[in-house]
Amino acid sequence: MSQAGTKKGAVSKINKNVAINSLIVFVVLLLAWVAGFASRLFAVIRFESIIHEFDPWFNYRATAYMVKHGFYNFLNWFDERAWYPLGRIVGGTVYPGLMLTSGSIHYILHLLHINVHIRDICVFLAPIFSGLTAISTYFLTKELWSTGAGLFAACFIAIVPGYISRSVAGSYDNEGIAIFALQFTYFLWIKSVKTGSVFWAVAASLSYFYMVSAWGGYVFIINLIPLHVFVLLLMGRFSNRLFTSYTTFYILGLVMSMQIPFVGFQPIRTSEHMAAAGVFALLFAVAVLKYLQSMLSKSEFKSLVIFGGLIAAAVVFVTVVLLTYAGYIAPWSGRFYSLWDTGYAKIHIPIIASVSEHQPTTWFSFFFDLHVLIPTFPAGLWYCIKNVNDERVFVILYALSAVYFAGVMVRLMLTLTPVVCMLSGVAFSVILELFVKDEDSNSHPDTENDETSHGGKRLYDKAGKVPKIIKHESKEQDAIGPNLRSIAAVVFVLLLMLFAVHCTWVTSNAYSSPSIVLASYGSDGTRQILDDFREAYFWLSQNTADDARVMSWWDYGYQIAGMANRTTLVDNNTWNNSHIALVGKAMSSNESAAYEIMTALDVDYVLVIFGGVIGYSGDDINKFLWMVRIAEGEHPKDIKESDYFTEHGEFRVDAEGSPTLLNCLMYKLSYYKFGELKLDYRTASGYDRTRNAVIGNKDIQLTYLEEAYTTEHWLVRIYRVKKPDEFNRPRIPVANRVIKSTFVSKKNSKRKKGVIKNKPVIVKGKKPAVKTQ
Amino acid sequence: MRRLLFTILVILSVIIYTDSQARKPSSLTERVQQLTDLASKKSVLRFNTNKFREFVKANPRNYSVIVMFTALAPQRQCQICRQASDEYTIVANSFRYSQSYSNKLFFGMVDFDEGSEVYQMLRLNTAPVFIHFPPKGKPKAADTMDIQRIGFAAEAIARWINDRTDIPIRVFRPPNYSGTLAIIILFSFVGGFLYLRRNNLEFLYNKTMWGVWALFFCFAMTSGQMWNHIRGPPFVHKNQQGQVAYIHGSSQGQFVFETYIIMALNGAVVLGMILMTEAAKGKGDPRKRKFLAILGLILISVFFSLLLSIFRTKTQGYPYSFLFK
Amino acid sequence: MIKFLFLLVITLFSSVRSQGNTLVLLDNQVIKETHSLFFKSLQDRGYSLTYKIADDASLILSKYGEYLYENLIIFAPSVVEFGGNLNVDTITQFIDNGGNVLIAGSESTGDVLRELASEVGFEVDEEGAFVIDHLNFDVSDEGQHTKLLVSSENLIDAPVIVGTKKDVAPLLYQGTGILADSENPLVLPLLTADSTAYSYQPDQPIKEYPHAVGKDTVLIAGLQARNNARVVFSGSLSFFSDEFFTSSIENAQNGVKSPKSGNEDVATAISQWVFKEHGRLRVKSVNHHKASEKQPPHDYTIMDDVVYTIGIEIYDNGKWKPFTANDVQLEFVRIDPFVRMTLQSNPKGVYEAQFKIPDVYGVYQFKVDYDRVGFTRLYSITQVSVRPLEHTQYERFIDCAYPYYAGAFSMMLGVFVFSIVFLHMKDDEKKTKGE
Repeated sequence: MSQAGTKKGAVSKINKNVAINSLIVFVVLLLAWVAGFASRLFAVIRFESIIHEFDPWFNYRATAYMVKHGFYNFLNWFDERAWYPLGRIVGGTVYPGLMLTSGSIHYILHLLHINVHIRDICVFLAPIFSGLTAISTYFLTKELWSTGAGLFAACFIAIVPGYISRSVAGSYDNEGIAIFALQFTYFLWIKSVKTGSVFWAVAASLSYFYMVSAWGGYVFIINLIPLHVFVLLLMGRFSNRLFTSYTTFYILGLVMSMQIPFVGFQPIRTSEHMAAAGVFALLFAVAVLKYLQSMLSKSEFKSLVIFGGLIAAAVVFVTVVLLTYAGYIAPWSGRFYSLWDTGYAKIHIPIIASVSEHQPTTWFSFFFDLHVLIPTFPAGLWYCIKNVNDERVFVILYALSAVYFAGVMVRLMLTLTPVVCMLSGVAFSVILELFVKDEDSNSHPDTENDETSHGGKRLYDKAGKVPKIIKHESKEQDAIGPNLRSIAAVVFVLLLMLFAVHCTWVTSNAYSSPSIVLASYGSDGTRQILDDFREAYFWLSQNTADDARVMSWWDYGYQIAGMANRTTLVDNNTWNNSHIALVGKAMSSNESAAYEIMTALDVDYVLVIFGGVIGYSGDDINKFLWMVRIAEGEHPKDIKESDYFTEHGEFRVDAEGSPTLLNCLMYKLSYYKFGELKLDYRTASGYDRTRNAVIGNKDIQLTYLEEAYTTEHWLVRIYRVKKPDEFNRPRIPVANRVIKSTFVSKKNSKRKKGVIKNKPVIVKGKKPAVKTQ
Repeated sequence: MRRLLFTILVILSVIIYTDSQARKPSSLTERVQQLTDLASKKSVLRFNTNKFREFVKANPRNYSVIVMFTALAPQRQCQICRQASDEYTIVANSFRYSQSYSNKLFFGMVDFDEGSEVYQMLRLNTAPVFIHFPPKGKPKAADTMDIQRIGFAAEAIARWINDRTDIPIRVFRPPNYSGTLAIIILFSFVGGFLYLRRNNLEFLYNKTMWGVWALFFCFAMTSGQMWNHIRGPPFVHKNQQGQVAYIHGSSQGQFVFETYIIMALNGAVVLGMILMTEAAKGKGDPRKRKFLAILGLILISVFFSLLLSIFRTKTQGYPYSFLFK
Repeated sequence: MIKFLFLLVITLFSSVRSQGNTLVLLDNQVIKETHSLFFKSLQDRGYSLTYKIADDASLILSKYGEYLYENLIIFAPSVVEFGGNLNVDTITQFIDNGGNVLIAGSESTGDVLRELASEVGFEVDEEGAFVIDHLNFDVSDEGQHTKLLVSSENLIDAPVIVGTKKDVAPLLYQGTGILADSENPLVLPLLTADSTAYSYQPDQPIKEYPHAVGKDTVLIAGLQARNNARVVFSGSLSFFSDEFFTSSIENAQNGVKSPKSGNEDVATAISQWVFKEHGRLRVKSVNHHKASEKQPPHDYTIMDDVVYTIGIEIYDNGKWKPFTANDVQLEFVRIDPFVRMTLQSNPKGVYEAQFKIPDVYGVYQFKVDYDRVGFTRLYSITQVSVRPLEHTQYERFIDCAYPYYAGAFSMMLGVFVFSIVFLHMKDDEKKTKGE
């Protein structure tokens, strides 16, 4: 299908064609890069150049640390400000690829005396890498199908929301660079399978190494490539090229992936990686059999294959099972397991189930993230299956596995996006190639006009067509007719245009909120910025001791560490469930029980997020049941989820809510003094806008904590935990007194004189009594 | 007829009841011994009215009894009772073979058709109900398990029992062989089929078949069948007025039927694209090809527009549409 | 770089003033005369006393947020309500801010004092109740057996509060009984009644069980709050009177005699304790470092040997002097204590411990919590972080890996040899082909 195949005329003409073709390819890719970059800048333009959400804050903090202290200190970084008092070995529990990437960019720019702050590099890293992703997608698709399909795919992936969701400016996360690494590794792998060259295989393993250093999703590669090899073997497509490339890739990839401290010995000890090892062994077995086949007679060979194969399979299987039972190979981790047994997480791992990214995907999300690509990519898949060869087997498997995973978890939509772009590229390229090919003279200026009228962004539509137009000059019998052709072209251009505007709309509306700065729009269209999070974090950083320990739910751990620079107890790296459960227990206990936990953990401040004033639904009360569930998992004796429901099994914050809920720490901290607040004339005081209810406990007294700070819109509330000597005078409460007395003060502002019982009246000349009975 | 039977039953049970009253109430140790013997035979003891009086209502007791009140008879048509009973049996069996097995806790059940008097006695009018009878005192409100809220999965029952009696039961589900069996049968069918057709394995190389399978899988996944599988939404939604909603109003949810519609729409668009390519590429009757191409184009534009308009109804403020609003 | 090392020391006021301003609240001016010996001993020790009648409308404790007095003596048992802006809340606030209070009640203790007592963990027996002991009373008793002779054995076993009790003569006491909250570890019964005593109205028939019987009847109760403020509540005002200080005593039952009661000694000792002349400790210095070094490191590595020293001083006659004891303990805590050991003391008041850090990383605290009866609580926390081994600190060559080393090197060698052979063979082939 490549254009080079149709050679006609003189060499110079070919050269000219090649030159024009490469110029077009270059221009299209460049424009794809620019369009992709530009459409990711909504958040920066609307708000400012700021790191988004939660995880990026940790990545940013780690990057800043690495830039400041150097790589080796980063590798050995023991962060005593996280997971107090356990601490976290950051170097050993992080995928360092992201930090290294932006760190090296920073280093190079500073070598060139371009003084860019590391924050700006972090903010713009993902948009820049989206361009690289587009280019590697182009190469991969080109290897699989054709240049035209490649250009389509590159343009699709540059602006598709499924990928933008993880790579807008400021979303400084592993996925931003990992998708590039993923696509590039696949490209190099396909290249090495095609050529059988050790060079490409080594390049693939190097790229794989980069992927391992960048994202935990590398497991997808190390399972998909063996699956590819395995299916090729099943199809009887064994070749020496395959043997060379896989063995080289596997050994080098294995050794290199183990260099990442966080990965360590996992590649040889966990079940997720066993498939690759098994295929490695199988490939050798097949190679030996092929060799034997050339030496043995047919019947001998047949029996050998059957018995040898069965025995070998049994031995491998039994070994793996035994090793797993003996503890040498860890069974599948919970997150991984929940991909297969879809009900598993819901029952067993509340901390996984509590994350919204780990929910299954509705058709709506698919369409929202991929739009026209969803109904068209199966067509590309169809063509690939119909015209199957070694590398197309790969893309088929890629599509089928990714579509399954994306169905199970919203988060994995990200791995589906590239392959959908590629296959849709194939589909569009095939159709347009057939429908725009013949009317050389007519359609050429038409499409040109098309292009200019839609502006720069529309260029990629053309990309697929232009080379074809030039190429196909041979006249076939035309059954379709020019009218139909132009109608079809217009329809497809319209579809693609819809796709482009959809992408822009989704990006602008759904994926460009930094989530630490909220915006609300008044009825007259004015925009109001709610900057409560940063206000609170700034307050913390300015008004608390440098080593103050702040307790909050884990969602806010990274932000507190990153923005307020204070010690946190738990954060978004949810590695220690029991520690999280302890915090959950403190939040869901009553005040005095919580105080015991807080003293044991040396908590100085407690931070809660409360959305009842502005109607922010992502606040802590709405997350509260997860805290209870996680706490119950570890402390079933003390915390029971059922205590937090009413008798009818509802979760209510109003007067009918369960008494346990109305007296737990989280409730008290969220609604402290809220009962006195009247939001507007129509509603009663203490009306919670998020849950549309008047709160049930309006008179909240705090014994062990005191309010330290509440932000402008009450979104963040900070409380100080009192020290024991501040409240702990051994008072005997009235109820416990043996001797009852009813003492009411009669003093007031006017009469300040006290009273003394039987005050002796001093009469001159008479000795007063010392005591009067 | 039924009433007659019922009266006879009542009379009979009254006779039995008086009879058992007349009998000297057995002592505690005897009862425990009897129960233990029974329990060693069957993990869930079936109580009728007088057995219930003898073992559960009698005092003194030093053991807890968990009783499931249920109606298993087929004519009662209680599907949920059957499921609950299965789960309950799993718990009872787990307890019987666990290390914490002792004669402090017994599992019993009362079927409505065997002990309707017990139902009257306890003023029960629903089934299934799980009640814990503590060694001392009467069952409190918390001694009745709240099925509405915690469900009746074996784990939930075990946790509830642990709550009430402090006896931990680790639920051990008998491995579900039906799945394994189904897989084995499937494999043997496939294997047998392959063996029968061993001389003609061409169909394995039939790309169309594989392609159809792959496309079907993609349609299933992209239309959210996995979400249906995990969340179990209703097929369609009927509101109070009896109107049926096929499309879920919000972007967070979906109905089963809705996903089928989406699957069909996606399929139609793909079909249209394939028809168009076949028409443009293939050889043969030009009119037929032209017809196919037009058909394909119509399929694509119409069904994609439909898809887009369904999407539009679910998204607030989505501005774009194609052909249809 | 931020120092991840911090010091939290709770001791007494660091600004040392040997004697402070003291407000004395009286029922009437007469008390000033009848208790002159006690007040004189205070004045001799340097206290400046301000006498006020308890219902004076101009009473204030603080002005512009600053306390005017460090100590408060309430010798006004029958006060029902204080004058001015003094009330239970302001006095408890005064205690919460570190002020010391000495209160004396009597059989007719006023309501405000009862409230105040409850705020600090005591209760005063009902109106009109005396402590009665039919076996130990002075000969000068008037027939109700309320003028008790309390053996010095009943003093609390803490020399720092009540002085050495062996050579103290029996104590004269006349007043009401106090009930102490037994569940509260901070409340100290400084003086209890004998086992034969009880507390009741002497002229009433006993109809119900007395609130306080035997040793449970506290005569003088003390409290050292968590902020080290000290409060003493005596059930008897006359315990501090000149009359009781000077009179000779004779037990009416067993005839034990003494020319002078022990009241003066004990009252002086108690006043010294309550106004923090005695039993006041502070941490002078805290130091920790690796066994081989002198300076505290930025962080420790697991399995390090660490040396911890703490200097403790005691306040004695206006000067800080080294404090020696052999029961000061150190804990190395990360939620739970990982190491707990007794510190070795030396005469200079410097305590030292040497131990190996456990094989668990995290943020630890050196914690010295020295809490002894009568002494101020010494609570010193030093936070350090303990990090895991760095990548250069692991063992380079381990024995069990030698087969793998051998494998790797033999492989390299093999490849080397193989490539030579391979190249050589190829040459040969070419030659043969060429031929």
